[in-house]
Amino acid sequence: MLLEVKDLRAVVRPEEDEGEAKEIIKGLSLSLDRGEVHAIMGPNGSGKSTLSHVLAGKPGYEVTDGEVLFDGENLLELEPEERAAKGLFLAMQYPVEIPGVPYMQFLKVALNSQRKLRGEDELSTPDFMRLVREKAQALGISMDMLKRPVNVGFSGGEKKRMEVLQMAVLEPKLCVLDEIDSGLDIDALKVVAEGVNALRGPRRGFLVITHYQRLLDYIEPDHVHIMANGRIIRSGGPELAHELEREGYAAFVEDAA
Amino acid sequence: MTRPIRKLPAEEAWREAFAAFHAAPEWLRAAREEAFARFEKTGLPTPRTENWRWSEIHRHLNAPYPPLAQPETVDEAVLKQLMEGHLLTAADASVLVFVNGRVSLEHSRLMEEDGVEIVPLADVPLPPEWADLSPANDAIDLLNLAYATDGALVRVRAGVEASIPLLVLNISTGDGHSVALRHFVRVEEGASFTFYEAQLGGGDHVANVSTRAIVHENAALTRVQVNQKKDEGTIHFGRLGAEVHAHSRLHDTALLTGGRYHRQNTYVDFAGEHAEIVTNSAYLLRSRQHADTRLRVNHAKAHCTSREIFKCVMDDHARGAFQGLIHVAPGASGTDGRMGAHGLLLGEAAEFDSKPELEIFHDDVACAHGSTVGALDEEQLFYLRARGVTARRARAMLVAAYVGEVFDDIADERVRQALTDYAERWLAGEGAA
Ligand SMILES: Nc1ncnc2c1ncn2[C@@H]1O[C@H](COP(=O)(O)OP(=O)(O)OP(=O)(O)O)[C@@H](O)[C@H]1O
Ligand SMILES: [Mg+2]
Repeated sequence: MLLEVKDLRAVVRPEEDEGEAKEIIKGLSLSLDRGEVHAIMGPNGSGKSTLSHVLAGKPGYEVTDGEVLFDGENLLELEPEERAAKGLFLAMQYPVEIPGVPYMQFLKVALNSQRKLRGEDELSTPDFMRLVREKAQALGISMDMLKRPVNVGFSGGEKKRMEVLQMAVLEPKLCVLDEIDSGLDIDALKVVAEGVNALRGPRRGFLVITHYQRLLDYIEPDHVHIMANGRIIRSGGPELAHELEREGYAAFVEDAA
Repeated sequence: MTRPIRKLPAEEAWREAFAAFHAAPEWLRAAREEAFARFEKTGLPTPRTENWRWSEIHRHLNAPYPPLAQPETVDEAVLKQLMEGHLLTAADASVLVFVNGRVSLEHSRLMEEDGVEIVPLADVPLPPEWADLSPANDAIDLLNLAYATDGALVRVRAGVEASIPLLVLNISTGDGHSVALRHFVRVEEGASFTFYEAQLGGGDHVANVSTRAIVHENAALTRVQVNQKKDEGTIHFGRLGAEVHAHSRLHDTALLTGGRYHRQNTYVDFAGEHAEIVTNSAYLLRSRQHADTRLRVNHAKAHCTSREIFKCVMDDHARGAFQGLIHVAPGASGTDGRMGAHGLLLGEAAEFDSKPELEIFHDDVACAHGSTVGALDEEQLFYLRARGVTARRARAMLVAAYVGEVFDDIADERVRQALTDYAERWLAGEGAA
């Protein structure tokens, strides 16, 4: 199994130690194998992004119960950079702007840092440039874009496209895509979905978080999960997404209650 | 009730030493005596002296640092290391080396260029009519003139676009004394020049280095300064006093990361219209380092532009302070001045004080100033780490990104790269050279 989440509970600690810790993930289980695409759908605030943050090791959350195995290894005790080097990639709902760091440099440091952590040789500059040029071209990203500072002044759609470029360059084992479709126009959605589909293969898994059935028309999932109030309340095949589109969340959430 | 203020040990030592102090050139004696008499009257600044409130010099000058009677020699291997290990080695330049207050021609490498004169102050037999060594109205600069034992006098003749920059290495070492150097750069009409200065060495002593620059009409001067004194060591007083004339340009950049204390006094006066200055600095401070800057840009003439960016990164218990002033004189129409002071606190015990000010006596001007202080952005850190960049490297990248704009317009690509790379290496612990 590539990813196994078992009875996971996680809280977010308010800043300045004021107030109670708030539980957001409330006993969530999920198994995802290589070659599979799982979709998670769920109402706003149900904890989808939180789950993705906990998987990636973002500070500010605390796991209070349960476990997460990644490729059989305890994921939760690893630093974020170690998780990345082991092949976990989180395409963020809100990619962060980093003024002063050119995109190209960022990508190169990221790739070589991962390789170093894995005990592999660093990629030479010409080899790296060749790799990026090829991947960028496939995604319709101009090299000019890569000279700019990371995400600064990028449109919402451009940011998402660049997340897919990172994924293509870093070649992770598990891609967690948090609303990769938000802010994309129809053409961009196709490009991004094609980029994702190009990465699909027997050795790689995907966890696709989305609100819209439309994305799943392009990136066809093997399994669909409905998440509400910090838990997965229903799992099924692709037809579940259609059912959800027709009936809305209310019916499911009530059923589960 | 006023209590008599006890004089600092350093001040007492400087007062006592002057009568017996002799240094070349002889023709400077009268000016030294006058400067010293003025210093005797005012004494060293105190925390209550305007523009010195955050400097804490009473803490740093709490020991005697009498002037060096004879330049102390420095071990050749140490010198070699200093001369080859600093950040401006990338500059393709003539090199003038000062060791403990005296020029060392043996270690220098001057390349001849038509229209460019470079002479060590102590070797000039008669007062050159083109050099102005008069002191500013400031205790530290008065002391500098009184005790200066040497300096570089540079003249770039009208119309000469010098192709060979000058790199001055101010090396001082040892404990318990002070050294003073007084440099002068004159760029005549339509000429251009690049002047690099590195403060190198280390030890518990005081280095007082004052540079005066006059940029005549249609001329251009680029200056880059680094302070790479060994951490925990030297007390450094640095001064740039610049006078920029009509249609001229001064571009000044500093990377200050060495020594225990650095006080930078930068005073720029516009002496003609349509002139332009940029003065940017990056300070990288750790442990108990303290850097303190006073910057004053005097828009005395109309239609001049000034840009000042000050970026200070402080780890551990380091302290940074900035007091900046854009002064706009009556009648200075079309003045365009912008000053920003920004502090990045990495250590919880680090401290940043900043006071950028505008003093405007004319209506028709566009001036702005701002100040910010903060810590590294956690979201940015996580984003980098989530892509596989180690926490340490991610912090270093963000520090380099923070100060990066200070070096943006340095014309020599290799020098720019050296300073940028250093900023990234700094946090990884590969500190002073
Ligand atoms: N740092 C935090 N402090 C306090 N509450 C938080 C924090 N992070 C998340 N939450 C809360 O946790 C809940 C889940 O948020 P999360 O962002 O995971 O939802 P989501 O399912 O991704 O929603 P959306 O579909 O709108 O993106 C929300 O109620 C949110 O307000
Ligand atoms: Mg979300």
